[in-house]
Amino acid sequence: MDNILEVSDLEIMLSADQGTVDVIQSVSFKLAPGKTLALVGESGCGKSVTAASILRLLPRELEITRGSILFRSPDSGEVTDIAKLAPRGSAIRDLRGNDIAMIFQEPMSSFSPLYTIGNQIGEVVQLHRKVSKKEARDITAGLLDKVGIPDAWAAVDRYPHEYSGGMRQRAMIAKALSCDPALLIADEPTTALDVTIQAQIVELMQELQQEFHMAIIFITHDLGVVAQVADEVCIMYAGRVVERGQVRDIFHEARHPYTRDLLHAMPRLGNLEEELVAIEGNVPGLFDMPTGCRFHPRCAAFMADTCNVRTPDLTQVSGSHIVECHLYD
Amino acid sequence: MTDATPPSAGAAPLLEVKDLAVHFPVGRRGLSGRGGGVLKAVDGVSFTVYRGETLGLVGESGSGKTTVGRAVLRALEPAAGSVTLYRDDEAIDVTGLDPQDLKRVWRHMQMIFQDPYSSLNPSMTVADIIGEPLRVNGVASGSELKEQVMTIAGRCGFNVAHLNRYPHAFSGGQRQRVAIARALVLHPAFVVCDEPVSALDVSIQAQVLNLLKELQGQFGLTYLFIAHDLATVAYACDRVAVMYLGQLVEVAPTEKLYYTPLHPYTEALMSAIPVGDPDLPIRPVQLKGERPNPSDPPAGCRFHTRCRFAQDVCVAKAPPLAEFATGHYVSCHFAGDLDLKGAMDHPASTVARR
Repeated sequence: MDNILEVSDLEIMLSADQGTVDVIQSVSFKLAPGKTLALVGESGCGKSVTAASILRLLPRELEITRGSILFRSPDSGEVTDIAKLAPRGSAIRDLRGNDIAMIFQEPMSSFSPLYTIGNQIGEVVQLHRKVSKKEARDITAGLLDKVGIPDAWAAVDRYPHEYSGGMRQRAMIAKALSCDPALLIADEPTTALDVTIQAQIVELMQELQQEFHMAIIFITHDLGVVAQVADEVCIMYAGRVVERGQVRDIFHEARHPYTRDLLHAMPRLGNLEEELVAIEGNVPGLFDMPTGCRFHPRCAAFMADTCNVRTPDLTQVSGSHIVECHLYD
Repeated sequence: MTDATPPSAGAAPLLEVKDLAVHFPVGRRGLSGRGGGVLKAVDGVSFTVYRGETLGLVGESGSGKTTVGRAVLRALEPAAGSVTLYRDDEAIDVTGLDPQDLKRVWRHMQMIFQDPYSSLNPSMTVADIIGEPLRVNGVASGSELKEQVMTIAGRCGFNVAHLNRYPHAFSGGQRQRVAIARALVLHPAFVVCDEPVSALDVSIQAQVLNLLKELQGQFGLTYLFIAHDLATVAYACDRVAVMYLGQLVEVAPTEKLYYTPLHPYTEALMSAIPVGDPDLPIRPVQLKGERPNPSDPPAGCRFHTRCRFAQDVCVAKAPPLAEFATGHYVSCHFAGDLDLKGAMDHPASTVARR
């Protein structure tokens, strides 16, 4: 296996009082080292659940019931099926932080307000590498410097509230990078930031990716950012990947009506004259999933007796460009 | 925007804001309430909103844009300056009104908030939420009130069969429709939209933006549209004003501001907008350093600490907001002399349309 990550036929079920339903169904994708995969979709489409499952950080009610998450360690070449690991065992704990790291949307709530930034990043460094407290501090300052925090040696001793939003997000990236992960999962890392800061963070992530040859899974609902950062894109809807392909396939050759709708709903600077095309309706709830294609109640290309009856098959458009829609099968 | 004819000299102003200032106390104070400093969140802001237009107000978080929106409605008490609302032939000095009269004028000026999850009372039904302004202002009651609530809810695209449900039963997009209906039920002339779509998914954003445009046409509304998402603002607004550290740095018709900015800060903002095309990578202009602390803004031009063109004069003297070309206002000592790039004016997207 050359890829760093291969997710196949992943299914995640939710057990609740109302019964058991699937949250993620038949999700498959691959990611090569040094590449960026974007998971895109509206809230409630299962992007974050998919990402959390790679670290086995799912809440108790959610369980992986099918499929595999193969991770290949770049150092040893060893392949692990993360889906089979015990969620609280030592094997997954070794992967977390060391090989796979995650950054979150809200940098304010991801740091404890009670400890200095240096303390919190140093703790991670000490946990994963055999270094003294003093060395951990030096490594931390070096990391903060690397992510562009001015006067990093003084910044080590500051508390999170003394950092601005952009600085905090940089500190979080520094924390995630502290153990030189092979795979970085970034869950909406720029959504809470201003546009100028967003651009800086995106650029920073790209630079660091080049330097460390990291693979990145970038979760976002902002297609503008996707166009900038992604090599490959998975469009998710109601727990399924409805289209997937190279970034140019998605932006220039989109096939699935949902992908096209998302692209048309995005305000673009070149086309201020055009009406935005809204997608009517909402993402269905877990307990009232439509039959057949899950997008059919909102779909402009809906075909009666087909879309509402059968789940469409995966169709290959070209190369790695795949779509799940009755228009093409 | 589609028919973006910039308001000419003849367009009638609806709202005039002059030298608006809002101060917040900061720092440690004694028991007497004295001591501590003052944060000038808004410091000498002047602009005019013309009848029927949408004026965008953009800037990074902490620039004071929301504070302007609130002070204009006197939801926050301004420290100085004036706000004048022109109704029919009457000029109402909003800043000079006593509380009783202010309440009457609020019927003409309403607000839509960012977060439809916290702006709707969870213990009231949607019908009560939308009807409350009518009741409070004694405009309607009984069946007439019900009638008006149904009409406005329908116009806002809310399913009137669901009026007796509570907010928790609805998604973000539906709740925002309720918030819009509540703001419009009194038929105001002027609405402050504070980040009305930034809590929503992109597909739902488009629904709400289109709705706001549609309602503007139907009711002849005038909007002050506050947002940090520059692509959304470009789509929604006729003119746009850019704020930095409590002051306006540039005001212009949307296309002029986006494609031919005159202020280096506007240029930096524009260069950072993701274009949404993998073949057109963006090259953001990097701003030097960090944003200064708003309670201790730099002397002279407030942007000089981060400006790549800054000269001695920028430190010594604050440039006034002056009209550089017709309708294009900018506050920069070197307006027109700098080689600034606008947001990428790329060819129409190659995405196949359905």
